[in-house]
Amino acid sequence: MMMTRLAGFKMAAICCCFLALAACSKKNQPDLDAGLNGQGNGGVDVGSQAPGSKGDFDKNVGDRVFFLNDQTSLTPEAADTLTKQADWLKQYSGVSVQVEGHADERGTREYNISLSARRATTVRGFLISHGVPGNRISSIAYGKERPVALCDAEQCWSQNRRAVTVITGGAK
Amino acid sequence: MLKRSLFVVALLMSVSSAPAFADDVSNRVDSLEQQVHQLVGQIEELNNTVRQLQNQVATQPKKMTSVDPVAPQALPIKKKLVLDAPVQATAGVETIEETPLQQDASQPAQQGTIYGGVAQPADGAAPAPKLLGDLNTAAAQPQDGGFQGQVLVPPGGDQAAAAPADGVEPVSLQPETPDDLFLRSEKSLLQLQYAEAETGFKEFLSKYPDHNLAGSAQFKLGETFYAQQNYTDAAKNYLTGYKQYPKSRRAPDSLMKLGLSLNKLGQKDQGCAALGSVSSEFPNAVEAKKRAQAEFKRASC
Amino acid sequence: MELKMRTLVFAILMLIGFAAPSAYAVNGTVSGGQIDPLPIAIAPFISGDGAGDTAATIAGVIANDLAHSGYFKPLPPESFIEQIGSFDAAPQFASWKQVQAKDLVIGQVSMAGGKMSVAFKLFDVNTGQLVAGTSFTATPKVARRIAHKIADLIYKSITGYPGYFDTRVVFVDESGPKDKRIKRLGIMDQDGFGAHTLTKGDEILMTPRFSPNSQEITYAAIGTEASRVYLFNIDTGQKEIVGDFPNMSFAPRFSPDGQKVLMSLQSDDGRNANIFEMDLRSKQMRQVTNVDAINTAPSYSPDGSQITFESDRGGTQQIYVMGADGSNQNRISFGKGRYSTPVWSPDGKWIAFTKQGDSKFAIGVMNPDGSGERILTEGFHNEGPTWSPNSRVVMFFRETPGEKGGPQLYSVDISGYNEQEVPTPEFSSDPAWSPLLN
Repeated sequence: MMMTRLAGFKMAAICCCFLALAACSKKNQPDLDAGLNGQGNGGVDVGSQAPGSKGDFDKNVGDRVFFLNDQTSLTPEAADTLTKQADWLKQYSGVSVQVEGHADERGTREYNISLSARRATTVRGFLISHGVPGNRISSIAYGKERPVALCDAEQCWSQNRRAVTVITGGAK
Repeated sequence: MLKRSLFVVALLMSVSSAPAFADDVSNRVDSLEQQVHQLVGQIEELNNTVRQLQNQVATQPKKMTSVDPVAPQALPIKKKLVLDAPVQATAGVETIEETPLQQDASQPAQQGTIYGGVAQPADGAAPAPKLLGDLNTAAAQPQDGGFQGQVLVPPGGDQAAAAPADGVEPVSLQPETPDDLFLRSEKSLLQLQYAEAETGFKEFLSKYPDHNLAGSAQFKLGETFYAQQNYTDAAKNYLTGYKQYPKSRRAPDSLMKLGLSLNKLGQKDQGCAALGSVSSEFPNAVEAKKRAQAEFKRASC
Repeated sequence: MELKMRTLVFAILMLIGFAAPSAYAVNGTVSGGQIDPLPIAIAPFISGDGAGDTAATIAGVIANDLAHSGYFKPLPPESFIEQIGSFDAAPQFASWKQVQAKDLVIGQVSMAGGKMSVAFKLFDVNTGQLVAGTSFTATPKVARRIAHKIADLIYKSITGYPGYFDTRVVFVDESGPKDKRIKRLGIMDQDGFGAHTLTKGDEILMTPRFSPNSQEITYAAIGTEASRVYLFNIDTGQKEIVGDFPNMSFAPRFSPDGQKVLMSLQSDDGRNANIFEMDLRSKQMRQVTNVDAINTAPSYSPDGSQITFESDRGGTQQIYVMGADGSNQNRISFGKGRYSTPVWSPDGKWIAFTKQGDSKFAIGVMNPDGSGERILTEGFHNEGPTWSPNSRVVMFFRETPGEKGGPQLYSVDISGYNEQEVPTPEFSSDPAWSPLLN
């Protein structure tokens, strides 16, 4: 009896989860792209940044990934960016980075600190599992304390829910 | 309980398929965790529903019977010479390392912030302020922490002076007057103790239906329900207040709030009609008229 | 449910706005959130040589405190008929009745040998009875504090509730653009007077909380590395890290005895946060929760037997109550939306919280068993409630939207009545109210 009930809940929960995510992803798509600073149209500026430099990483790889509201899972777009980050970091093995986790302003302060730490951890974990040594990646959580987009609308909040991989040393 | 639920949920999760997007391990953990959380949430909500149902069953028969009597001292009437001192002094006040107020020349300026000083000796050098009657300085001193607080006693030295320490009101041996009952009920309403307020006003109305406060009590009974969003009972009582006590000073208010309650209940036609009739029914009720007009507009009647 | 919440707010507003004078409201009685402020006359204080300015300050502070409480209406001194010339002679009560005063405060201030003496009396105008009276001797520097103490005595004598005016508030002073906010520890008197900052702003400072003796603050701050919990001594300006943990710590709050600090620690794998307690004397750390979720914002019940906190173990932020040892962790918030930042009231009767839903942030209170939820204010963004020591007033911060927007402090009576901005020099957030000062 207990099992059946729970199983029912589980199914419902999973369906809800996926439906919500699907809906959210679609809705947020343009915003995500808008925030991605050149990610995905990498051909444009390649020549102007020295390979292995901070500029190269930020412009041609993409230094940040974005999250859905109150989520810490990686979107497919985020996973793409992070795969590129991992490849780049493996190529330039002297570079060390700090992953900054951030949350948007539409949450409470304490919770957002922990939520943004989870985001930073997820990104760090991804990079490690894709071959970047953990001792080259530190992480820090900023909660909602450092927004980059300042309007009060989803188009800004979606840019603030981010994890930014900041080069802290070893770049050309 | 929670742990066990989590365990069951985790077992269930382990047989479910992995999320479709992003094949990363940490991401999979994240999604799994998220689903566990959602299930925990649902179990919590289910438990809560069960608990509420159980409570309803358990409390229904004795509903409204277990109202604590409100102590007369709790009334917001004036207390005589009540200081915090006895309470505070025993509350384990920390010894605060601060400069005595008298030596403040040597104290670094704190940019406008003021700190209390350490307690002065009771026989401090300051000239004693003029006192009227008895002193109660001993009790007052610790809490004032450096201020020479002294209680000035009423010139007549009435019974209040006899019991300043515990702040107990002179206890009346007389039965509760209608006014007391009304005030006590109103106080309950103030303190959001709706059950007490309801019982009190009902008692008032059954005991003193012809008292000149009955109309007010009827209105306040309506307010008790209104504050709890029970607009049906609120409307009933406002209606009674308006119909049975047309001469009460609360009659216009009752009609106005009747209108608001009806609007809340979705009966906008009647609600607006009630609001609209306040000024014609009670041309002299300035406040209620103003309010009704404003509400009439706000509800887009 | 959501609709219900909104109508609840509305209902309370209704009751409030509806303030017809009542013959039975002579004591500033409030009924169902509706209030008839008590007309009170504060006669200009009699002043000796050189005490005139101080006397005016004290009377002004008293009037301001009482007016801000929402329970009193200080009458304009211009309307007064009798000039109080003697502290000892009985006032002419008929003339005070004539100006509609229900109560009368008289006082005198004198200076002698660098010391200030202040005395006041509170009379019931109708009966002519002396209701309260106290005299104080101190240095002139603490004139405002004495005024607050007098206001507390008047408030208590008339409402029966303990006062809350002789208190201070710590907060986060915010300056600079929104994406580079400088956050300093700020402190001020409860009425906004004497606001100043205590730290330099080289760290992102969050959630300051008073110790029970009001002399120490605990807060979290992000410096060059992870968030850490600090103890800050107001008098000395000294700060120290509470515990040297490898993972980040945040959301600190003192235990009622001031000997321990509750806080959240991020887990080793970085995915979760659990609640721990540090004994400040023994430096022993005790784990209180152990659930894979974000468990944070802990707050003790005033008797120290229970802790309320928020957790997203159920999918969204909700409020829980548990024994101080971590036993019996039960969710108490079941309304629609997310509930967070629970704070137990000093009298133990309420838990104040932030609630998010429908793109709005509300401040509300509920009983510790989760019943009796009431929303006190709701809007674009309200967050972070703190209690006045008498459990009657809740202070919180409200963000205004937009690039130029920022947080301001507000206070509201627990009835939902009397919401007002608390003036601060700059943007301010994360207020925490001190206990009554000694």
